[in-house]
Amino acid sequence: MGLVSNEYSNGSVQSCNGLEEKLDDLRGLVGKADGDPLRIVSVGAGAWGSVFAALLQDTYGQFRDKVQIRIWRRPGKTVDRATAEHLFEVINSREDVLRRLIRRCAYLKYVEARLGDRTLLADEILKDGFCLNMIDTPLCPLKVVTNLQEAVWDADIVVNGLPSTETREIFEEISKYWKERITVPVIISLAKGIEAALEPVPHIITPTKMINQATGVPMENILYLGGPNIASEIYNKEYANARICGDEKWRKPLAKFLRQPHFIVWDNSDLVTHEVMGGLKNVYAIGAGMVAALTNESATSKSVYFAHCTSEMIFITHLLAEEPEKLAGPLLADTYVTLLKGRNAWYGQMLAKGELSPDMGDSISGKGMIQGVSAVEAFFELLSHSSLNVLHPEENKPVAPVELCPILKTLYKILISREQLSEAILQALRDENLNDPRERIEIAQSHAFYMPSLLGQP
Amino acid sequence: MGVVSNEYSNGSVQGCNSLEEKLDDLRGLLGKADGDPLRIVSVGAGAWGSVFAALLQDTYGQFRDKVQIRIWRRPGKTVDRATAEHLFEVINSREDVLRRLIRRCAYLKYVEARLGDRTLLADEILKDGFCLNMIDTPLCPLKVVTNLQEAVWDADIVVNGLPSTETREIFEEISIYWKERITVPVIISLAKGIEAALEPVPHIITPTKMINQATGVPMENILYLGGPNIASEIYNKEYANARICGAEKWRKPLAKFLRQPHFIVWDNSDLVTHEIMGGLKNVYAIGAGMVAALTNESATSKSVYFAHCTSEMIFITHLLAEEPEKLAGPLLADTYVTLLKGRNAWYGQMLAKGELSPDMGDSISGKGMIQGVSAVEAFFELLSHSSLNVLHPEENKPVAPVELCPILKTLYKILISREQSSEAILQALRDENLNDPRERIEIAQSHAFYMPSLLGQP
Repeated sequence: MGLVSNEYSNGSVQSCNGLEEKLDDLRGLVGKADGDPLRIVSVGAGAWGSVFAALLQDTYGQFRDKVQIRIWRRPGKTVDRATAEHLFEVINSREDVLRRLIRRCAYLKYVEARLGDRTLLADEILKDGFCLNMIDTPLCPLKVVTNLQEAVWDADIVVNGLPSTETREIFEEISKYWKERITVPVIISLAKGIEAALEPVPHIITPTKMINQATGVPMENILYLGGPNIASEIYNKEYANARICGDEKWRKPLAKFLRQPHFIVWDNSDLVTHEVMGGLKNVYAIGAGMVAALTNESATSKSVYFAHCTSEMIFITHLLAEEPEKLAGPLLADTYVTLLKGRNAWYGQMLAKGELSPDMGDSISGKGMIQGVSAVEAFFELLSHSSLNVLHPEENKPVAPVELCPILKTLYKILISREQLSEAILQALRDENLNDPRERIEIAQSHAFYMPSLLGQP
Repeated sequence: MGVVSNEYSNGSVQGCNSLEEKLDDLRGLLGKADGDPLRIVSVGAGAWGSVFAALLQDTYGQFRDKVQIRIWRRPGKTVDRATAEHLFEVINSREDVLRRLIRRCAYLKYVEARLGDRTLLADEILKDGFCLNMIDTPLCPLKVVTNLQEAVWDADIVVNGLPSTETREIFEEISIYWKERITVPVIISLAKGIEAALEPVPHIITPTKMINQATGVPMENILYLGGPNIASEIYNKEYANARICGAEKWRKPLAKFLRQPHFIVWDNSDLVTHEIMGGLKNVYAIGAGMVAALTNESATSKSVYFAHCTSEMIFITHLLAEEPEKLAGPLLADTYVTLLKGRNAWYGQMLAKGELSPDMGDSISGKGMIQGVSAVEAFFELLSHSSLNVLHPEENKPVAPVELCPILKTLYKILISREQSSEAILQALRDENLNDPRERIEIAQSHAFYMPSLLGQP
């Protein structure tokens, strides 16, 4: 990896005034008086949560009196010896990082850890800009708080960088600390997983809905930020697009605040569909990784997989969205990068190569939470429910929607019920009776499938 | 590359009987009497045309009395020294190929060519199964005919493996030899390029239409076979899907005839739209190659490009097709593989790296015709015509459709008018004023854009 200069710590590509103006605009909207800093907290220190906090620190951290950016993570997580050795190599290969640590008298602990004489903690190294899930990409130094109450009690903006599987639990705890708050915070969620609930009718619970239920913060103050999400590439100034979805009051000013020359943020009113689609693509990313590994990166086999998984995704969007065609471009573009790269696809590859197995769980050291696994279970359970039956095109009888999604079914059998191996994904693709993916799309488009109750709407 | 056993030359994965049955079915449909072989000719020896002929030879060649498969290519093309040296390495690294050449007393000419003592001809090596555009993937031996009249005069099925830029010329010549034919042949076209004509109204001329105009063969007997097309992977039994498009009379029996365990062929009635989309994706594949090279294979930047190019493609399909959403899955899946791999994307990479330049032309030694280049010109000219104006979403005035396709415009400036270098493709993506690709899709879906005249239909 080439040397990446930190363009923001001593000035900015954008003019200093332009940035301060954007910060002042947001402070005004939040109602911050002079001398009262805007407090932004990233909750959870996975790759994207850490990068998000670091981008903000790089951009706005220079305005010390006007904004404070901090990140919460649990205390006590240790860094294993192999990771410490690798981290030492990363530090020594990056002159800018090495100089910074020496200057801050923070270097020698890494030498000790390299030699096995000291055990580092994840929160300790994060202060120096090293995210345990992204060791190869040093970030700027961050203010790390390990006490949740201290981190969030006075926050104006909270960024949810937790996996969806921890979102409800953590925000229920946060809710206690917010009991006596006067101001209502704004929450931006990066989480992509979903839950399925089957009562009173089958429906999806999204992370933003979990936050709303846990804290009572109105949905108008909760937004979802999604998009192709290779966190290390975003931090390295690769050009990226994202979409912030939610109520108009906050999404437009936040899009403006978050936008940078290499990180374009568009705004969109459709919070729920984008949030759900973010989870859906991770489902199919796991299968893409399996196909890539089993066929030795065959582009032809990948495209066959892509044809089928996109047609299943399009079919599912017709159940969830009133105007699903509007998702075609952005959904598939996000799917493209998620299939190419990213931890869900990586996880699928490792399963197929036998280097990991499903019973090792879906939280992997050095990678973080593989959200696609729980999403497979959620979508499968939801689409298996008989109250959602659709007419089978050939057998002319009602079937659960999942019967028209052979890849999703196969992923469930590999990852959840574990009655099949990764090779089953190729067998599913090579079933001569498999329908042309075009037929699945035609089914979706020729019938009225939209079920508002699936997203908890009337 | 591992040794690929030739599963068909001494039997078959499918039962010998079922193959003969499929062959007999097709012979019956074509009215072939006993003792009169079905004559299949592949015209043009690019990678896909050669692989197509080889697949048929591998599968049906064993039934010598019932079918003859041959391939036409122009005589006289020489094999340069570097290619001859590389070919020698390929031969010697493949025991099965080496044995075959020794057994057929065809080996020593490759030794002589390696030493520079002999010049090989492309048609000469093709008889031994070496396609000049695909040297690394030896095929089975083929019957090569260099005289066009001799090749096609009595053909029952002709496979058009020519670039679209040569299709009209060659089929006009073929028409001379078919003047006294009694039976009407069936023609399957693999060509993906298009032409734009501006009189009497702007419209697209597809390769199948060129063949129809040149030979007088009715459109009902002309079909298009398209799909993800990495020819060497298809020959190496990577699982692939294709679609044969055309009138029902022939497309269903041909789909059945062509289908193999690793090569699934679906049939589709929409000949014109699929043929054009095959050309359109090559346009954007060139840009994808440029982005990949300029960003060092950044997955994030590729996804930004994908979001924009798919939204442009979707916008263009709304001009060309009455029900464009039906193309969403297959079109984008084909686009996926075309962007990942394939010669158009390769060409874009080479331009961006400076190893090739547009003035070297669009036919590259060892790669064949880069169809995307002429397609850029065709689509640009067509969509620039003022009679096709659409309403600009922001400026609220009529503009040519091409104004809403910034990537297509940029590719035109790089490849055709040559007023910009490859870096312009990144600049186009990074234009902060660039619309969210979702907006382009919404424009397309919210207006009635369909113009039947674009495809020469009433």
